[in-house]
Amino acid sequence: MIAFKLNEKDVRIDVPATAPLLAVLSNDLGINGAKFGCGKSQCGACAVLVDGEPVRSCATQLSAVSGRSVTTLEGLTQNGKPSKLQQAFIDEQAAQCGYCASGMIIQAQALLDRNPNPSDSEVRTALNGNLCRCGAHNRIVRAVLRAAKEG
Amino acid sequence: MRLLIIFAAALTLLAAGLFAYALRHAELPARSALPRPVFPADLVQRGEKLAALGACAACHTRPGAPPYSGGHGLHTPFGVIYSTNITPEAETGIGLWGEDAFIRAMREGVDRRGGMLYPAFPYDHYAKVNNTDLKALYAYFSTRQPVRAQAKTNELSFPFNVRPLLAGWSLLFLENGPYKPDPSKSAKWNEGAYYVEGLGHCGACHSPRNALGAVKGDARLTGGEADGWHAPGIGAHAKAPATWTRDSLTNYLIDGWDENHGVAAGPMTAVVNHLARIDESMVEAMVEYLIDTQPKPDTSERAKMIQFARDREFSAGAPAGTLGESESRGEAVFARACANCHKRGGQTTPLALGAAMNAPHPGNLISIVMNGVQPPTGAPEKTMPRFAQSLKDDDLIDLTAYMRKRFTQKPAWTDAPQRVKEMRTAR
Amino acid sequence: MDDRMNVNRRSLLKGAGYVALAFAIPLESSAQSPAVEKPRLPGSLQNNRNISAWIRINADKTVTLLIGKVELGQGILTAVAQICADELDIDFERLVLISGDTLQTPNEGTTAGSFSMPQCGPAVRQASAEARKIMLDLAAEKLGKPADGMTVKDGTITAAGGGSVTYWDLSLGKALEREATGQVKPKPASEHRYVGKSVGRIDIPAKMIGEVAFVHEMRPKGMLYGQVVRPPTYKAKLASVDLAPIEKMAGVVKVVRNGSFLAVIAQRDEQSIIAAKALFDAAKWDVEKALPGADGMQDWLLNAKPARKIETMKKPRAGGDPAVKTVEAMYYRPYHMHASIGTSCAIATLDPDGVTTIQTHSQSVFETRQAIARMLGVDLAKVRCQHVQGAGCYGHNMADDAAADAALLAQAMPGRPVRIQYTREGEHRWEPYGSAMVLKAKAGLDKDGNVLDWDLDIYSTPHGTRPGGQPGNLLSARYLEKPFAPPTPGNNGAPNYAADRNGIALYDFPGQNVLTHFITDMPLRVSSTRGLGAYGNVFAIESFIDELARAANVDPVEYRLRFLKDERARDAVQKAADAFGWSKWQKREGRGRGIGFARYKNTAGYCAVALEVEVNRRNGRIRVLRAVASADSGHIVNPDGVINQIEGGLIQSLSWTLKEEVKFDDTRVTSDDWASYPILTFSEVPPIEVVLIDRPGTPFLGTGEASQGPTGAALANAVHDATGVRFRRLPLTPDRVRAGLSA
Repeated sequence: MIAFKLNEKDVRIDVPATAPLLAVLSNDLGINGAKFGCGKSQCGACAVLVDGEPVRSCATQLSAVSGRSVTTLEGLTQNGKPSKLQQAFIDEQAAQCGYCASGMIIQAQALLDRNPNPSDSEVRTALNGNLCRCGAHNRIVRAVLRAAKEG
Repeated sequence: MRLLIIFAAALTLLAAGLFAYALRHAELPARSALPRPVFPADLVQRGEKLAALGACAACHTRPGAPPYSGGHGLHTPFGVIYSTNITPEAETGIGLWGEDAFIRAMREGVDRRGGMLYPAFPYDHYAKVNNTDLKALYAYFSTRQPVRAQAKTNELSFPFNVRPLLAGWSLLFLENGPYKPDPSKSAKWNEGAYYVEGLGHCGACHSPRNALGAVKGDARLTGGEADGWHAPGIGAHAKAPATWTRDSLTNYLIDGWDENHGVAAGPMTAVVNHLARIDESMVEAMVEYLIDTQPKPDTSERAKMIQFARDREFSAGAPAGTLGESESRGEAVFARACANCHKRGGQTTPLALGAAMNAPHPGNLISIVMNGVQPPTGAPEKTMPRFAQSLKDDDLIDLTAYMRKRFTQKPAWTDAPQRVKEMRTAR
Repeated sequence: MDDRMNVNRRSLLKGAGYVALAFAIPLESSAQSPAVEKPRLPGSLQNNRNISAWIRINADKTVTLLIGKVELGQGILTAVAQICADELDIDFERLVLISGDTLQTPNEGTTAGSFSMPQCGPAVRQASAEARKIMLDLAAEKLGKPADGMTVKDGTITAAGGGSVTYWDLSLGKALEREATGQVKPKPASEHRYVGKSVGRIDIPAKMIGEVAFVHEMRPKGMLYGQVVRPPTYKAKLASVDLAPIEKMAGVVKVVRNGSFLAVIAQRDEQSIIAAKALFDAAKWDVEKALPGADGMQDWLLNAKPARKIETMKKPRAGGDPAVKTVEAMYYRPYHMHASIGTSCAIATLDPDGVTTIQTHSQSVFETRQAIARMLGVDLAKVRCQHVQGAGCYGHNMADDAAADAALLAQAMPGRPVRIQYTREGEHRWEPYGSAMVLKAKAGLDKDGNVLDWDLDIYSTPHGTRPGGQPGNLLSARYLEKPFAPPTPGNNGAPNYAADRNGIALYDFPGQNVLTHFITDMPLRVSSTRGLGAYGNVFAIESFIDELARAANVDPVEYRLRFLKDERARDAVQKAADAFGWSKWQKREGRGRGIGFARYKNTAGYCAVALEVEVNRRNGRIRVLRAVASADSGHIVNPDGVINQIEGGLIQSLSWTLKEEVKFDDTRVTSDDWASYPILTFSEVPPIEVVLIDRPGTPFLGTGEASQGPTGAALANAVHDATGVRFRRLPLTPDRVRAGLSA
């Protein structure tokens, strides 16, 4: 039995401790945000926050988050409404297919928590490890900068 | 023991400080803030390049804050020192500083009013910069956007929070006077030496420091410590697994990456990001100096090392039958977390060629694994995600043990547990 | 965008995709072939003539719009919803969309080839306009007033001089169950309320807050997890395998072997992956060494015996003086991956009534359904495919393979939904790539360097192996006990072409011949990848014309305009050049500018791309400093949607051109993840400006693939401008550039 906080709620789950966090979030705990992209920490689609830090959930064993606090895309919403950052992604239409969006938003949130006023190039550097195939990069950067500006 | 040394050091400092107090510095007159002075464009341009060479913004800018407005905290063994606002703002910046005050600060570590500056601001290096370049820097900083930003109060323990004592520090450790060219060497060599030893302040990190935080004069550039990272020896003391060549060092310093050395990480990232913005010829001069002073490379040794690194990374793995318990567990962690990218056809630089694997302590490796790699601007694809939350302490300890065994022929590290704990609490 | 509109979009997707599972009103297939005397109807309405196949007016005061095209992230649902809301005079929020369901929606074929707007757009427009007319006629009858003076506002019809009635009062029955006549005229652009505006995409909000949007997120009760174990190489055969130990592994419900097809089904996702690895290790395969290797591919293409030599164009110059000078050049593009960020996924359930229902992100639900039914040996009626969104695919990726695999595994576990999502390696190594191509260009010039005779020879393997109803195009079907051989692919003829798509230069040269060496041997599995042959062909044509312009010492923009007679083409080139600041541009050391142009397929959207690069001679790195694109997509429905497509295609094309090449040795593909097949990162993406050229009242032109070709050529041209060295072999990696500059 492993216990941790998921989006501010206590969860206890009885699955093998070596199961990837991503699989547990998706298949046992009903999380949609984090997505399987590569299973190798290479693309960032599965990013979640653990104690506020961005983590590739595909390459993280469940046991590593025991007693910690996990935040997914769903957990960023406020009363079911998009957060400032999420709303900025909507306002900037920062997606084509949108499959990478959850990982982008999580990674960007971690950046803004550390640096509330990043420059264009700081946003890009922070997101370089997150892959987008559709070419929505500039929209995504605009969305992050917009969220920063709107504080 | 360590306490005793610090105590003795503090005493020394006190004595020197008292002596130096008698020779204390005068306040220099304020210039009027308006009208803002005007400078020739080429002087400002030169200043801009020099400011990049010195990576002034790396310390004098807090993430997300306007350039040069200060507030960035430097963690030293003596406490946290916050960088100051060096924009030309009158009250909180250096807007009232005349050129003489600026030059004195760079040379002697004294602010306009005569107060001592902490040598975290490496004026022991800047003292070597010539007047022309200091004037260019003054021109550059005087023409930046003024930003009102009050400097944060340093968090230092006694006696290091007593500024006048720093006069003693200067007396003990400051060699005054600009760089003197070596007439037996080429102009390019001398230009490079001037940058490396002066404004580039390479020695600030790449040299060991004594108990008072001063560079040990006889051990300059033999390798040092910065922010928990080992900064390897350079120039005459370079010990990279694959000996540096002109090309590889140029690539590394500008791009932040070279195929036989890997990616610049930790505090070095900010350095290469700045060097990427100056004329390549300036970097080439530094390379000229550093390579020339380096022991002559044995090319066959170099090739052998590269081959060893490739074998360990791509085919042989760890030497058979040599893994202890912790290392065996580390092997499993490596397979799970690292081998997805660190494999044939993935990353092109074998781990064995990087400084982190070959450092005297595992601080660099642990830091990279935990915090990942923020790519330098010249090699944006060289990213690595952070694993601090994906791996437990034991995983990290086992992993470093395994990697040291597999990728080097050096003795095992002993202080990984302590360093992992420090990294955890540092955050 | 000043005219961006934000409407309440979340309601629109209710009932679409996943949620629509509960929404299954059987509908007569309306895809009867029209009799000869019937009028020609716009777009896909021609083959789906019943208005009720497209539009339903619902009791809850919503309107359901059913379309056969599917959302791939290109924004098609939003664009057609805009059209429908305008023609039908209803608020956008009232629309509920259902797309790509073989049981419910019109069959519009495959969502590909930049055909969605040209085929689906006019059909929805006409069907909506006719539905509105029917409503007005019903209202006239009910109110006893002439239809002529009536106005409609958000579904409420008001007669001149009073009296009103709503759509929902009038028609919940069979009023729309009639064929379109083609007689109702759609509204002029001036009366549009939504069309022409940047209405926010209806699918985006859910994706940003973690609501179910993708097939990957569906988790029906009782779902099991399947993993397919592929052979080590393409043509390997399974020699032997002991299944017993695998069957005993944790969570394993079933191990499936059918010929050389191997798979596991497990309780949990991670268990299926662990078991699949063990199964792969347990299997013994007969492996062949048969591939030419990535570095040998150019020679392989030149030496392979083509199945056909196709005269794509034969228009020799009639008379005149012989050319004074002949110039030749050869270009190469490697294999590219679709490389979707999400690996392909599908869920299939075999219900007690014998129907296998598959949720899939296939682009061709109708034809894939047919291929799967044949593979399973069941009636077409026993397979249903429902489109649910997946990660961007940019052509035929493994979506259909996943659908087929899920269907195969569902047969082994009746009643239980079985989910397939491939591993990264499984997707990278087995997807059908965009074909490598060699392009040989030759030009005969007059004394001023003008083109007299233009020849292009295209050497290519196929570009289309979509399911098309053929099981042999489904990967796993080839390995079954009774295997389905892959059919020999064809090459589309005019006007769409395939290997020779955009092989014909739009320039008005006195003589032009295009010969396609169509090679049906396929070292690597290939299929439609964004633009098909157009990327390689435009890269060659636009590089070559740049070479000719420079040889003639003429500005590349001016040289192009000499031969470009199509006014809209000229406009696109000029607008891109102007926005770039072409004529004012100052040459600086290490920097260069380049331009590329094409009209996609020579029938769809026009696009010119101009960009500026900086080339570092020391390390061979190319930095794209900025890019400008012009786009003429005809009548623009959603400006931001067009910009998004042009910009996205431009960035993807930069990635192809700078970085991408599928690597393989003599047995297998070695580009098996993002480390070994890197793509463009954020810091490498330049600022991009898109200049829209709106043509109200003209047909909608497809846009999704328009910027692909021009970008690659513009980049190579800019690198030449910066360095004086012409690079004709892609990708332009630092190693290759450095080697080229020091040669």
